[in-house]
Amino acid sequence: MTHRRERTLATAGIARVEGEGSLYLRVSGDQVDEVRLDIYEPPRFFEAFLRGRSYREPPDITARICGICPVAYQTSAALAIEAACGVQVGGPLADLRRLLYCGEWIASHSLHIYLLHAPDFLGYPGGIELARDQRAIIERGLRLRRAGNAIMETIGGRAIHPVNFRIGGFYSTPAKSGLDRLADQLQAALDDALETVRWVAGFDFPDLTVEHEMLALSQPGSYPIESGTLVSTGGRAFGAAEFEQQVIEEQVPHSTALHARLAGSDGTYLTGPLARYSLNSRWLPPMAATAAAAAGLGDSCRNPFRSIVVRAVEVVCAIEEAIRLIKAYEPPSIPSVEVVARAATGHGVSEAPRGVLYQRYELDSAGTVVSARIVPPTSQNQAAIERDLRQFVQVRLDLTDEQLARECEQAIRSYDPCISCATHFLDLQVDRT
Amino acid sequence: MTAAGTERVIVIGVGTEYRCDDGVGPAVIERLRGTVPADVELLCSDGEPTRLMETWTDAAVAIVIDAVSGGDAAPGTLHRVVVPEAPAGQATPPVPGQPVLGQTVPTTAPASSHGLGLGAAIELSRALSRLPAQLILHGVQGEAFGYGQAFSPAVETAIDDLTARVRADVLSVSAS
Repeated sequence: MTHRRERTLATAGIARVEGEGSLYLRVSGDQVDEVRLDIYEPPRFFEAFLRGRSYREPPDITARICGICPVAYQTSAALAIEAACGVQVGGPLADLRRLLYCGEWIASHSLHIYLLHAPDFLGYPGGIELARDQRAIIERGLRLRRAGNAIMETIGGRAIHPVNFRIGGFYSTPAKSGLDRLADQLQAALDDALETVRWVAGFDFPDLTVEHEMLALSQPGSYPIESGTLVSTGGRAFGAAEFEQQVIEEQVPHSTALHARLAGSDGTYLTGPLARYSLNSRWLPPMAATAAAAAGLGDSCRNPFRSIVVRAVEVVCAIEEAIRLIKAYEPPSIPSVEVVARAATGHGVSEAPRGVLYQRYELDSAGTVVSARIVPPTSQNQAAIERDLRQFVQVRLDLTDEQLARECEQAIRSYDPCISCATHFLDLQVDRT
Repeated sequence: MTAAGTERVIVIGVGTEYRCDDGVGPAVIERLRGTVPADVELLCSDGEPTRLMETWTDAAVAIVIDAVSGGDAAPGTLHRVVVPEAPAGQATPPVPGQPVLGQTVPTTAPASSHGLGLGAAIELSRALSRLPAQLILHGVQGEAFGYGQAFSPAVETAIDDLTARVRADVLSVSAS
């Protein structure tokens, strides 16, 4: 006879809004029966909120979905609406968008590496304790984050919810002298970024190899950030317009979020730094490529814990790219191209720091949004994270509940899930029978 | 002390305008515009701790407004907390479970970089000696934090009082 018991083991984090997010494990004997991660509330409110708005509004509105990655939301929205209107923004305006996006990658990755992820490897409960003990290290992370924010302030007008971004380009474009000052700051940040790669490469990583199909953008010739077509480790290749045929979202009983899988496949898939790196490592710029090799990353990386190394390499990549774009910058003759509304549907996709971010807009002839669809990276990754946790927990069942809770939190942290902003609480519950 | 010169006085409304009561901080900032001295900086923030820290570093006075969740207070209850600065060179460990405006000081890291907030901003600033000389937190107990733009009735009713209390603090520190 088995004795069933249910306990709430641990809670982690601070909650701006409590009650959202939980991890539930059901264990029978030595077998993990169920892993349920309910952390993400998809932006359905925003999809409804966007209906009836002018086609010029989604970049500003969607930027509010996330304080960590507003540029990703703005970019995918703009690409989708511009595609609907038959416009492709290219040349120096596209370069400026890439530069702005580099700023977001640097700021977002630096925050995660230094305040969230590194403390796990160094035996600290969190970034605050690490800051108390090793101030110089945290200061380095903060300098990097400032460099990313400086790009967003210079190009986007401000670091949070950039206001200078618009359909067709920007409201205004910076003078060359303004960017030159930024280049000096980025040159110094490059040293910090390279030091960061060396630092994290020396951590001890738990064993975990994930076998998911991986999905990322591809921009042959450069590392994908602000645009590209979708490719997978399973040989798929498709454009943004095919996203909803290739990515199937399904309701699952335990979650308000839809779970995603790739069409024609029963398996989950992963998007984000590991996928991006594994599918595009050959397109890293020179210093990032050298740093990745020295860190022992190889051509691909399938250990979520080592994502901290990939993020560090991507910070080098983003800074290198930003410096290159600034050096080549000549102010465009016009800050934005004209985008005339028409009745059509457009699709846009870009690489948010956490992975592929897809949006679709249906417009009427007056330019009013008839419908909108937003598929962020975390809702795509949720099923994969659950599957990985099952594998992770299965070989750790001999741990006490407290140890298990802590290690699961660390595992989840390695994916840096986007918990719908302004929330957060992770509740872990284990049922053992 | 005045807000002129290097004596910065900054008022920060923390919150998200699309999460019902969480939007109270930015709403108070809007109500303060034009009613406080022109050199008092009025800002909104999503509460991300490094940005909050960068924002208030070097300020003589920072006043932060946020919605409060958790705890036993009735919705609409107003809170005011003056954050004590640790003595120079001494790190003050966070007290596990101690609420800072209803947000528990983190004892372990949150699962996501989206989970850091005001409590983390204060402790990080303390660890790095970047607390403003004076930090005053104003909060209102919220009850609705789902998606939407409407305040709960209790918070809606409390906004005017909250704004008046914040304004009184601003005028007091600006005049002193």
